[in-house]
Amino acid sequence: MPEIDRLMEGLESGLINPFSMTVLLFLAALLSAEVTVRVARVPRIVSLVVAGAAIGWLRSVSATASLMPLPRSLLEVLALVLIFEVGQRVPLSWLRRNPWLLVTSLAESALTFAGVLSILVLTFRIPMVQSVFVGVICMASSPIVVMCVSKDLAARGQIAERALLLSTLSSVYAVLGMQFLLSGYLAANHAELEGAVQPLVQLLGSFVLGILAAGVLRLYVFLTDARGAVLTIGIVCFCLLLYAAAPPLGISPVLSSLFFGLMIRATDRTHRLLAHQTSEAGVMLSVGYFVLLGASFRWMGTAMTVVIAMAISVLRIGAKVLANSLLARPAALQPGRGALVGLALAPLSSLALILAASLSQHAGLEQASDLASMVILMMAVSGPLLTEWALRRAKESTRQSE
Amino acid sequence: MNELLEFHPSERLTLGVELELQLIDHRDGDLTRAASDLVAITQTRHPRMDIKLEITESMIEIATGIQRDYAGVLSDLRALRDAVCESAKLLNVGVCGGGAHPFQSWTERHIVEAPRMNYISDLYGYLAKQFTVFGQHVHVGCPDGDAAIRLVHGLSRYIPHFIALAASSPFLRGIDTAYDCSRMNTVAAFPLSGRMPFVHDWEQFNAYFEKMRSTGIVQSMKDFYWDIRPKPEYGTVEVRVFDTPLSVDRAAALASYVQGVARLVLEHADSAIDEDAYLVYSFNRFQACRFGLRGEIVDPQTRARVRLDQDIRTMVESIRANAPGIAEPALMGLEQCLDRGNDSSWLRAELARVGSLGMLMRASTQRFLQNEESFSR
Repeated sequence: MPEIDRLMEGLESGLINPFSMTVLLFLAALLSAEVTVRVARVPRIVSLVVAGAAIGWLRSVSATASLMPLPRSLLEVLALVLIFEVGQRVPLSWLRRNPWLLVTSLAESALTFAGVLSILVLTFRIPMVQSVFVGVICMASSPIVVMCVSKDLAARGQIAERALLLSTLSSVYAVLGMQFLLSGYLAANHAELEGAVQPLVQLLGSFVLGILAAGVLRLYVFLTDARGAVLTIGIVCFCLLLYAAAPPLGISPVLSSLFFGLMIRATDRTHRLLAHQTSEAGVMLSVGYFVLLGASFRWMGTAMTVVIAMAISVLRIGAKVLANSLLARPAALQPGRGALVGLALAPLSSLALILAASLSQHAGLEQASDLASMVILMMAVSGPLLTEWALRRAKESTRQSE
Repeated sequence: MNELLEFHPSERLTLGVELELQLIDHRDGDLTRAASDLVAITQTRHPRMDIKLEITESMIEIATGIQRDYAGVLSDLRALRDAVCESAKLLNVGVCGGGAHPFQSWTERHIVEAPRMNYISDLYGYLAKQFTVFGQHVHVGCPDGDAAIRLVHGLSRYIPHFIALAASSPFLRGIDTAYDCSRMNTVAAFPLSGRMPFVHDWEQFNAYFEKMRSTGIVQSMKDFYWDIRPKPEYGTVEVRVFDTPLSVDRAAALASYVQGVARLVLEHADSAIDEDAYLVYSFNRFQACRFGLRGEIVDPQTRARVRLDQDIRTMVESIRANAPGIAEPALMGLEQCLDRGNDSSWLRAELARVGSLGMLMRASTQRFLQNEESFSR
């Protein structure tokens, strides 16, 4: 695209520099997303992801644009803050009252994994090792997207609540499964046996860090009587600390942030922290998150990759719908509504993207990374649409009178 | 269609109680959308129990069978409560009493998919969603239509008693309304609310009903939202002014009180029905809603002013003396209410203790699970 390069070079000679260019593109993405929401009535999240993807495309076709700093770490920090909010909203005690929800979550993840593995190995003849990694990533659903769509619609009800709980659990399974597989893979190739205990270390370490962060946040609130924006700033700072502290300890910052939120929910007897709304700051976080998410996609892949990814996407959704409808009755729901829960679990986003990116760092797993990235791209765009449709179909949106 | 309303006789002074309950999101204490799921699962697990959908998806109704006394009503209500709460746990939903949710936004409510609910929604527009308020209805069995009309008029004198004892809706849209019972103001928006017109017997009532039906305004007795109304298909008189209490024990005690008052009214059937009894009806009703047990009412016969709590104590003593068979635990429960304050007093005190309306709803769901003898303030 030489025209674009010429335009970029011309602009660069003036006041426009890579940093301001990034800001302008971000603004353009936001504007185009809002226009799309108004004109085409598509969910805001989808518009933001697509607009972000346009930035990503520009980066892939323009040498000048590729110089623009893409704040990848910002995306990850935003994801941690949103994961914290997910943790705050997930009612883990529900699993104790209704153990069939745990069974459902295990079954839908297992069925998704088995389905994706089968189609890759048996139909597309993808090597078993690659297929296993793709299957693990596809188990996950995005609790961030489910939460943001629910908030956007002000949804309340069983579909919204179950989708959030099950997407969170499936994400935990995917993170732990990926760590377990990677440990095994590395051990098999490089004889690093100590890696085999990593998943347990991840889980315990994240739990401890989450408890610590929750304790310190509560102390911060106690000492400062923080409310509103000050409290939001405190939460963001603690997520930043987790982002900085967890990786050097070999611990997942995502799980740590999730446990951080869960601990706040479990220990906030006065509802002081739970009642906190991030309001404008929260909207800003989610807008930034979804634009950056879109911009993070890699624009590559053969036609075959696209076909396989489409097949995986359809099968993945089918597996989640099937498992949730089959186990709906014992889990105290009508099968039809169980199917809607499965449909609402369609989105994939940053967590899966992080997992896919971690694959690309290991020799021999590039194909799995490429395939997973394409599935994530498809699900990042179509997933929110399906979640919104499921919530509207279940009449759980309270934003508009239905 | 000129078909007369037929009053199906029922055993005199039998009781039936309906409670409309709130469905609460545990996260923030707001109302949630769970009625269809909760009713479906509870009916599957307990097919013989009477658990129904109400106007919006954030409320359900439970109803006892026909009972002769306080013990039967209490037993039924506790069983219904336990069944509903057990199912609600599986859905991670809280269930509680209270006449109105303290901070819900009516615009967020969903009308239940059912012909009757759609009819109400089409007819009343936004009022249907605002009707997400929660009441207790007490049915008293009557042998015939004339007795039912007499009972409606006789019980109307005690409407302030019923309102003040049950009042549990002091908060609305996040503020203290200064009323003990704000729910009645919501009901008052409906054109066919208030009191039944003055008629002397069932024949006159039938004539009135036929006139109303010929105008096309009403189709059945369900279209009248009166404080007390005859229910000919059940053979009862239905008292509809109670806020849903915060515990089923209080609900059973209130039903027992209605039974006691009704017995006294029917036993003095020879006393003339006088329309002048309604002169002070609206004033007394307002006093009960606004001030609860501290309100002052005017006796329609003696024209004397008396505090509601004193008037209720007098009535309780009268029931004790003249209406044997009314369970002592029920009367003692009511006296405890007079001593400690009604549920609105409890809600205000609890809010001061817990600090937020969200936490207040958590406390309300916990209280609903408890039996009254194990509950201490």
